Amino acid sequence: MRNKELFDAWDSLTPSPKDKERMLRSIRLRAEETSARPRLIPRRVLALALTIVAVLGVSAFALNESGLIDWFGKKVSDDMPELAVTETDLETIQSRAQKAREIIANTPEGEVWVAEIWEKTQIFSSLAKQFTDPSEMAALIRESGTGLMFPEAIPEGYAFQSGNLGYYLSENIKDNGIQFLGEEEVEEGIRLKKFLVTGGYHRDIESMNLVFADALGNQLRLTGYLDAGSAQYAFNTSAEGAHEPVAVNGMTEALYIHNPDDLSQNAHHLHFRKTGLPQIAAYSWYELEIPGGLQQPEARPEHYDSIVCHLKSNVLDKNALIEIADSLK
Amino acid sequence: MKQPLSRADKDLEAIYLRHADMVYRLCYSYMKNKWDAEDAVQTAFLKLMASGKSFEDETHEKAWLIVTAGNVCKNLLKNPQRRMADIASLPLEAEETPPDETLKALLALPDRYKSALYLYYYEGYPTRQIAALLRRPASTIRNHLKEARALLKDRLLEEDHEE
Repeated sequence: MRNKELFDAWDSLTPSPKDKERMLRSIRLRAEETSARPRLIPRRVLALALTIVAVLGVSAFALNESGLIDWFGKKVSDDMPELAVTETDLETIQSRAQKAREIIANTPEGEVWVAEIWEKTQIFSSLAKQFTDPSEMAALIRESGTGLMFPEAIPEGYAFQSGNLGYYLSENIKDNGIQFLGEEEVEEGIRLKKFLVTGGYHRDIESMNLVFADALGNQLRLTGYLDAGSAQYAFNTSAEGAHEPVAVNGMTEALYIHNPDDLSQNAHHLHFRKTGLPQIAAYSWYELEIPGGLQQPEARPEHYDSIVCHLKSNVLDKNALIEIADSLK
Repeated sequence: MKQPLSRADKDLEAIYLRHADMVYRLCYSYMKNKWDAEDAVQTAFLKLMASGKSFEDETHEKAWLIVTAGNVCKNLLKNPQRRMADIASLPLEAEETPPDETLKALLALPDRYKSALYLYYYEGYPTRQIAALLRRPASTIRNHLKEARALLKDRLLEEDHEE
């Protein structure tokens, strides 16, 4: 079994344009009915009524040349890493995880909530900050010394729209910058622990997301994050797509992908990474067992030694994206 | 009195066009037939309209739809009325393209693996990004992918032997 077989299997489930149009009409119809009446038309009845008059058939795209490629544009291998498999009741975990996610969605900024839902299985909120001021965000990224950078050359007509930064848990913060606020069982099987991050963590940037937009609403997106040199990267190309390794200033690898088909909405992607950076020890909240607080002396950090970035636009082409990537400082 | 849903129609259409294929593929993998998949897709987007939710970015929007579509499907599958429905009475099965062996094996997988498998093999996300999208530990995602692959291999081998 190869990746392409799985890709093709999923792709064979792509709805035809007619099916998609019909579903959109049905959604609108059902929305109108929802607004006009206190109850929905039974979904199944409506779906069947609409499909009876429709032309039937499942479409499949020709994807002879499509598939997953690595940084160098080569097909990715079929191998998956060998990992230990835990014997747990995954259905129960899944149900509790869903409830836990709803609970931790209310975490205030500066706090981290950890929901223990199963032995050694925790769901935690992200330590993150939203930005509306690009200069403030750029300054914090550059001061962080993590290797992440902010673009200096943004194409004419584009303006900063929004951004956010995510933070990792440094050893210093783990040991000295966290106040345990308490814990309680909030649902059966879900124990919630709350922490206030009192130390200065704003240089411990792990990820960044930037959105720029032009007057027509076309967006340019840049994401970047620290990584531990993982080789598990695969990029999707469509049948009509083109891809080529390219050069970006200061980066170890860069790969440009253009998927011009309607499905991908003419997406231009530039993936690039820089490896061999000074290591940063980052702890994960997941790996910390927290008996009455953060007391896990055996917690092992992940050693980040690279940055991985992705530029995406449905309008800006290869050269424009490379120019932006070249301007990262 | 008519009460409009909170999301504007043009917003719905833009979001629908961005994600309908992805939501449909996921829903089909849960529901295993075109008609229930369409029903689930419609319900997921109706929930989006009714929620009035604003998203930080397209990734957030996509993650919300992935989780919502999965939950919609699970609820539909748990619905006793649906279980009682006579699927065989629907004149639909013959009109769908028969699935190949890989797709059959994929559809037979436990539901918990499907979102991660789809994002990894179809969308090409690395496990780390899948973990962020689904808000699960990366180790869980890697385990799910490994377990799913093992199951797929077993089932495809069984098919070979049966032939």
